[in-house]
Amino acid sequence: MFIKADILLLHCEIIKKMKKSLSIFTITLLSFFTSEAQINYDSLIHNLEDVTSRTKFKVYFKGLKYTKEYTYEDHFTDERFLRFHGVIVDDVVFDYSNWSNDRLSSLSLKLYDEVDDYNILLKKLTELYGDPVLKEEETTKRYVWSSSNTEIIMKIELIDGEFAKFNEFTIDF
Amino acid sequence: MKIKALLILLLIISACSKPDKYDLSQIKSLNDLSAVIDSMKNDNVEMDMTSVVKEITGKGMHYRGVPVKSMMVYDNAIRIYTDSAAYSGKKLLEQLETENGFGNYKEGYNNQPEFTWENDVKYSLLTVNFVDGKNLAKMGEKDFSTLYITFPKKYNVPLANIYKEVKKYEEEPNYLLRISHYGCDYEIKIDGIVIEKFYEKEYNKDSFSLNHFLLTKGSHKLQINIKPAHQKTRFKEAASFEAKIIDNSIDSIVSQKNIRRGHLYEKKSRKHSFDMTFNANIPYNNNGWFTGENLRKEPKLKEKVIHLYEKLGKAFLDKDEALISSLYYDMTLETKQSYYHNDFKSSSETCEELLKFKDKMYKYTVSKDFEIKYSDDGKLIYTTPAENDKQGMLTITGKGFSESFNYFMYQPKNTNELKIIRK
Repeated sequence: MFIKADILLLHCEIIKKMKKSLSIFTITLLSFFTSEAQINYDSLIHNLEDVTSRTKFKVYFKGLKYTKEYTYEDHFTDERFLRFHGVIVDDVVFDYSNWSNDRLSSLSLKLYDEVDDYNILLKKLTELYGDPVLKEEETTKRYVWSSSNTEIIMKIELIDGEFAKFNEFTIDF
Repeated sequence: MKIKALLILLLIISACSKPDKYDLSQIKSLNDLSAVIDSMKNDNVEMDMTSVVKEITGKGMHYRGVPVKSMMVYDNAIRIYTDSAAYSGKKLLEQLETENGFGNYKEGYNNQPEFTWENDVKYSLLTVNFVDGKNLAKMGEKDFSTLYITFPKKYNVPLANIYKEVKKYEEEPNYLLRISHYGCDYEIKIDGIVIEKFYEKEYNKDSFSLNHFLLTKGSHKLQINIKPAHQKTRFKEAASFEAKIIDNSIDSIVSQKNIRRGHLYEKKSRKHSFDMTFNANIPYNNNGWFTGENLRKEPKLKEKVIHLYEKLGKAFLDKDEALISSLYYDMTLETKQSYYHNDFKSSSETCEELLKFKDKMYKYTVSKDFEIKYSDDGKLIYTTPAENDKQGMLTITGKGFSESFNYFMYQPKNTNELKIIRK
């Protein structure tokens, strides 16, 4: 008798689990047949190190939503699609030097204040462009990497000599 | 044995129809919402319907497969909360983007990301709430989302469907005139039509949209007439004037004129005029007043103006939605086309804006004493009441409000009535 009850309970558990799995399966199956294709988010990531002075903002971010706040500047603020050498970028501003927007003068990146991001960028930029020109003060450090066509400026704020937050990150063309 | 297995399978299928039964993404109107709530009541889903804002907390709700913890029900809206588990916040955002495309993104209150989508069925606002996630690129398992969906009121008049007639283009130029001056009164004319007059402002910066006065692609002439401010006989020494026509869609200056400080004073003239001719690369063609009669030759013009405003006032008073829609149709369509507004919300809001007066008003008055101003070709007119500058040609009055209306009018060829065409 007890054995039968145990078997019955076991059946109930199995049925419950099957119900749940089947329910999810049904929704997945329905979604598969009725809904639109899922967005491939990874393919939409924009690596800002590829931007040049000739990059047109609207062409670069075509298909994605962006905002326009100032006359000369274009903003893109969705961090899901912004990376700079693998580091997540919160917000990027494309600053154009003339009305026709045909020449980009600088990119300003807003980064998350993560010490890991700072270390990654310091290492990567030094690998690519060599040792930076460093200006160190009590509460700030300013790094400048120069190449033939760009100047990258990274300024950070320090607390007790350690990285606290990003103050500035710009790429001038 | 086979029959037993089949019975168990049937049992499972019937039982599993209850969990996740209510896909809230399928609610596309207030009627759909009522039907879903009725169905939930029949299934004894847990809910509190005693308050003004009703709350449903029972199991079985989802949005395109993402489990929903609870739903608040308002008069014409719902608010949906996801669970704080299983990446539901992220999943709901992704499902909404799959359903509606990328939404407009901004940082809302407390830096919480907010996304909006609008279509002719619903306006959706998604707020992402971070719990263990850091940002949208690093969302956590416990981050959840709240989705606020409003179901817009439906209007049963052609005016509400105007958005379907508006064409979109790859390039959509948007011409603006930007003025900055010191010590000048000025009048702006475009293609012979006075569109604005400004007086009594010592220092001013202003921006005027031009597209709705540009009927077709090609050359257009802007004329600016300047006088000394405050009805003075001479310009001040510091008087200056700058006008720029820009294509705001690409931030490009199309034409520019700058009268430097001192120039107007040195000329000792009482007025100054200049033209700016520019090429408008607009992709649309509006008929506007192009085929209109020359109204300078119209003997009963004053009566026709009064008749048109009386007709409009009576339409509001009689709550005649069809007539209101018809009187405003051409102007609304061409204005929306001029700015490429092909979204449902824009048409719906125009409808709302116009039709709201009819329910609140109790009388209307039409000015009988007014001055008629003609465009250079006589096809377009604008009237200004003589007796009281604060009143429009038509004034409708209701409890606690008074609203004035004044429009550009023309008379299509081979017709006998004026039509509203711009404001």
